[in-house]
Order: sequence, then C-alpha cells, then structure tokens
Amino acid sequence: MTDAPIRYTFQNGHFLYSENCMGTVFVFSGQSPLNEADTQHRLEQAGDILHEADRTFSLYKENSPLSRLARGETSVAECPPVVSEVWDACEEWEKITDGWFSAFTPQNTFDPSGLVKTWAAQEAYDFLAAQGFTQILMNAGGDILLDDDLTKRDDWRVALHKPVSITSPEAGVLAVIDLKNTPFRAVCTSGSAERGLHIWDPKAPEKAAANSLAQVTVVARTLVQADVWATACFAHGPRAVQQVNAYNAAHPDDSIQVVVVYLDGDLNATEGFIELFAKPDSAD
Amino acid sequence: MLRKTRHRISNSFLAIAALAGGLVLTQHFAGGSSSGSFSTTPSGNGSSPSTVPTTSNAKPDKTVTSDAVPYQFGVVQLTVTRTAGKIAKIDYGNSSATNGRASAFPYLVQYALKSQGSNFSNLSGATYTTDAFKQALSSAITKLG
Repeated sequence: MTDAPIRYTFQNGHFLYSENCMGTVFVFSGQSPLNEADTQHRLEQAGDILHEADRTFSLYKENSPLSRLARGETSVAECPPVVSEVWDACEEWEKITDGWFSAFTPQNTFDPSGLVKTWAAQEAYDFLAAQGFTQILMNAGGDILLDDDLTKRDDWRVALHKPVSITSPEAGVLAVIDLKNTPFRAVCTSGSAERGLHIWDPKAPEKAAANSLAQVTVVARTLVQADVWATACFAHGPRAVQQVNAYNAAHPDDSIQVVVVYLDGDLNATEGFIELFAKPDSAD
Repeated sequence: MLRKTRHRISNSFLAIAALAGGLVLTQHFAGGSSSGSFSTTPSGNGSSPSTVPTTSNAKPDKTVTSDAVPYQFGVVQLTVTRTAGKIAKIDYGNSSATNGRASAFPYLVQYALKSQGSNFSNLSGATYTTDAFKQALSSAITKLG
C-alpha cells in the first residue's frame, strides 16, 4: 500500500505542489504573494505547461506530433512551432557537447526526450517566477532547479542519490552539495538505476546503449544545460570528466561541474567539484 | 591511467545514509510537517534539530543502531536518533570510514562521505518513475515503523 504524494499545501504564503507528468513527479515549492486559491490556480497552470509539452513531444502517445514525425507522417514545419524550437536547441547542444548529446535515435528518428522534460520544466518555472513567486525550488523527477533568492541554508543544499533505484534497499545519499555563493542553480543526474540503459552512445557503432558508467551528476547554471550535459557525459563514459575539464577551461562563463560514479562504485569528478561538497553541519 | 585518480565507495558504505534518504522523501511528500517545510534534518554533528515540527502526529522518538557493515576500508555502524518526528542525530561513532585509504586524489571520497551528514532540502537522482516514487515513499514509512 502506498500513500499518494500530497498534491498541494499552502501556509503563510509558502506552497508545496506536485504534478504527475511524463511518467514522473514534478515538485514545486516557494513563496507566493497570492492567496491560497490563486496560488493553486497558478501552480495548476504551470502543471498544464508540462502536460502540453508532453502532449506534443511524447513518443509514448501514438498521435503526438513527435510520434507522427517519427513515423514520417508529418514534417517539422507542420508541427507546432515549439517542435522546431526544440529541434534547433538539440542541434545547438549537439555542437556544444562535441556530438555526445544527440537527439537522433539509433533509428535516426528525432527523439528530444533527453531535453524536453527539463525544457518544459524550465518553462513552468519561468511562468511561476513571472507570477511573482519567489524562492522557488523545483524537483523535476530528480532534476533540481534552485532560485537565486533562497534564504534557508538547506534550500541551497542538494543531495545526490546513490546509483541505485530509490526503491532499492540500498537507496540513500551519495553526497550533499551546497550551491550557495556559486554560479550554479541546476543539478541533473543521469544513470541506469531507475530506467535501465536508456541513453544511446551517438558515436558507437549502431549507436549502442551507453553502459560504461553507473551514474553522472552535472551541476550547471541552467536546468537544460545540466540535463544535456548529464546525458552527454553518460554517453561519453569515463573520459567525460576530461572533456568537461577542457570545456570549462575554454568556456569559463559556461563552466559546469561533473561527478561520475563508475560501474564498480569508484568516483571521479571535474576540477572544482570538490568545492561544492557541503561542509559538515555547524550550528544555524 | 584513470584508475589512479579513481576511488571506491562501496555500496555497503553508501548504505549508511539510506535511512536519512528515506526520511527526506517522507518529509517532502507525505505531508508530515504542517509548516510546509521542504526539508528534513539528518545531522552529523549531534546538534538539536534545526526545525521544530509543529505537527501533533509526529512519530515517537526512537534511536536505532544499524548493523556493523564491513566494507573495503573498514567497518561502518550508525546510530540514528529520531526526535519529534525528525532525524535529530546520526552518530558515526562506530565507523572506521577512512582508515587505510591511500590514493592520488584523497579528498574527493572523503569530502563526499563527510557531506553525507549535511542537512539538505532536495534530492537529485536518475529520473524517478511515478511508481518508484510511490514505492520509495512507502518504503521510508515502513522503515520508520
């Protein structure tokens, strides 16, 4: 027997809201200047943004524009404008990651699902920010975005899960990082713990499934940047750390930090990651 | 060789934070706190909980000690104390977590291990399915008894 996650709580302007979409759970919390009912209405509108993206991009829905595109029944030009927007973003990220992120499947169909969840989540987040909501925290099924104006110490801290399913008896925390006073606001994790080998290696023969790492966590400036790099690093494997070190040296204003867990449990991380680990707790 | 800059955290050692991880999910989604707080307080230093829950249905206070778990670099055993419905203390006193490790990059794993005792508000992991999410919630509730 399971308890359903709470959908909505509101007290003194602080809200907590969850939305089931895209096969996972999105959780928002923060402060609202509105009353309880109006806050809930805005949160539901943010949820609608997620569902609209799902209706457009899901390859699990037979008649979604993306499914029809994959079957060759339509063209990008005939799809909603967001499809070409996401297509362009995917091409741009493929260049930035030196080809390690690719939205083209082993069957050469367009599958942007590696980007759409966080792209849509960012849209929903931006919508809430535009309503005057502050101190927004979002957990998009394990991918995290933090606001700039957080006031509670722990809100700046994000735990990274071990490379096992959260349903596993071994579920627990690998490490805790603290993003206060850093340029980073997003944390995304890729791995096979929850959904098996679902990331293909765009450079492997037949684009075989990537399987040389247990987990990658990327800490970045935007949610999509973190998500794309997490997918790219997982596909790339152990050499991703060196790739990102080189990228950071060449692009200091877009730098990211990465920690990888090897299949045997070993850790490696980019230069600078160590500074992100939360210091052991001191008195508040 | 990559091997020289890689370090091991065994699964068994990483299991030390399993209880804390489970509690976070409970706190987030079971609505255990009427303050609407998004955080919980697994604490590594034995200090008082930083947040005092205001619910009247908080779980009873309880202290449990884990099995002694051997792992590559020693033995780990935890004592976890729940006070007023929250983890108030995780005592690593019976652990020999860092003995015997020699490596070219000694701080990465040590920092990771130390950081596990920190409070946090959010958890990042490979995309949870809705079902996994519900199962984890159930599991966390079961562990708390």
